[in-house]
Amino acid sequence: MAELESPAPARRVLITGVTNPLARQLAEELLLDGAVEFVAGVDTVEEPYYFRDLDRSRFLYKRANIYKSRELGNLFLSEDFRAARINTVVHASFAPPLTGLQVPIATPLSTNVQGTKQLLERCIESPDIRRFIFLSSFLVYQVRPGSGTYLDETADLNFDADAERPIQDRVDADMLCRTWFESDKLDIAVLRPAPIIGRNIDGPLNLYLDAPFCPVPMGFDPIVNPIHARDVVRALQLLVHRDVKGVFNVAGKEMAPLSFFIRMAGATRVPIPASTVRPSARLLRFIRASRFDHTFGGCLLRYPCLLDTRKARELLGFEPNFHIKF
Amino acid sequence: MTGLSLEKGWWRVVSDRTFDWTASDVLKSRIGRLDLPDEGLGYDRFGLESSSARLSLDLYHWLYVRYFRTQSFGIEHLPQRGPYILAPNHTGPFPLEALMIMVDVLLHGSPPRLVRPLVNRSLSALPYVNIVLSRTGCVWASRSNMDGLLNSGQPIMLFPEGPRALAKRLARRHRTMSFNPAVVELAIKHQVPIVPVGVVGLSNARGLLPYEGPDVPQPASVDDEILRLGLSNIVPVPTRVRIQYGAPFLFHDDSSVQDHTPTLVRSMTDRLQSEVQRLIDDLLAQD
Repeated sequence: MAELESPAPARRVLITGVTNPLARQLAEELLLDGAVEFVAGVDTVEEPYYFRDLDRSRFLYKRANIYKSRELGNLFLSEDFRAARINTVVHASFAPPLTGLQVPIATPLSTNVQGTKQLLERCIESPDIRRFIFLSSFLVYQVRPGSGTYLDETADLNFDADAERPIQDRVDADMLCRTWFESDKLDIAVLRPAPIIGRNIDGPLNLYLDAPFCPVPMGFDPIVNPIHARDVVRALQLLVHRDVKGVFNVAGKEMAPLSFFIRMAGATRVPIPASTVRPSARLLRFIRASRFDHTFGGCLLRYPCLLDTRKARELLGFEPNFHIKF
Repeated sequence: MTGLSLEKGWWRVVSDRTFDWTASDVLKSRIGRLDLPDEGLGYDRFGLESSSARLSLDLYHWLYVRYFRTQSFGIEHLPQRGPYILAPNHTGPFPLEALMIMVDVLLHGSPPRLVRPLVNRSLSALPYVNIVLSRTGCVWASRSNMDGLLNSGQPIMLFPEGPRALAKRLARRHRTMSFNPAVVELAIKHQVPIVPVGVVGLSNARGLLPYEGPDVPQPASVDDEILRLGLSNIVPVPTRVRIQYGAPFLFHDDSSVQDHTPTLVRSMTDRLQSEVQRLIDDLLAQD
């Protein structure tokens, strides 16, 4: 008689940064997912109105700043959190947001790395948590003239000492997760999506295309391959359910030059000398005509940064479903 | 239903109409049989755009037939399907060999295929140049790009002498410089054949490149050569170009290749270089 396989344990998921649009969509999708028993969300703000109608037997919201050691400890020790018996963590918070007008200049951005490290350690110490999923970004890759168009998961990361601090933090956090890959205690997966397009998404490409004017360096028109936010949510859902470890690139259906997407978004493409693109982007932010920060997405404007998604296709079964719409 | 439509920008409209007006029926029929890679919006991931590629092939075709009056031999050596690596020599400062070979494989290959030339990646930093090269089928020479092209089944063209061969002195235009073993390593890794190619006839355009390779003897006076060649420093003269393909180097069933050592790779690279040199010498002997 064939032995019956023991069913996969039902997922009980903690999502950090749950009030950001991507994490919020993930929480809502997981609550609709019959294979997910419980969803807990944590963020630094008061519980938003859109969570108040959710089924309390399956959803818990906690207000805590996970980048502060004491608050993180209190979260893990709290009664309702322990009763939730979380077994999967999706780390979708990386404060502050990479772009947007509200980026405070004096933020000690290395708290992102320290906070991620503390969260990882807590997860390893926890007797219930078996799975950790980190939402990384395409920005961790080194993009330079002639860098491979096929950036697979083993491509060079941006270890440039002159790289902007938030990008360094992303790379450091990504590497932190990878150092624990061999752990028997915790299965870690890192998702690196291509530039994300979607409603209210603070990704660099989304903010760039949202502006009425898009300054581009003259003589450059790189191919971009953005991914819809709903596809990223699907990829995270797959990672929640599949017992796979490692780094996974995901990208969207459409691949075309940047000028094509600028035209589709209804913006005006403004070719200017390459050395003036950054000050122009800064000026547009200053006059509130754009929220795009050249610091975090400037590489997109000159050189292609296309991700090789074969591993996600083969091991995760991920295929992009949603077309980019403006 | 797609959220984005293949809206034709002005360039596509102009290039399609120009192609329809200027291209010969033969070229149209050969290109019609090509399976140009397309990720869904008319572009592939390396930047190839179908309208630009067709128009550029039309221009190269004119150069191939009218200007350089190209002849080729041994096209039957090219594999009919699957990826392979073409390994030609450089003859001068303008890598027109790549264009002539692209058109030759398109016109005479069975079936017609689009060979993707690998280009020095420093050119990707040049404004406008990077767009023209990528839209017309060239790919930046990086390991991941080569892996991606071969994994997707596309034939590629790789010059084993490297960019320094563009600065060959006139007297050494028919001598190959030392080949980079990375070509052989790539072929072994992907188990694809390397087809050696000899090209003569494009070395009369010298350009004004000051760089000299380490194994090239210095002339008495660089200025003398530039003055002697005159305008052909900049404009390639319409000499007849000849291309000779050799028998492919195969790695599929060679078990000794599976455990390749650096010494073995080096010896195979030297064999490849000798074969290309032999093809060049055979072409010269036809004069």
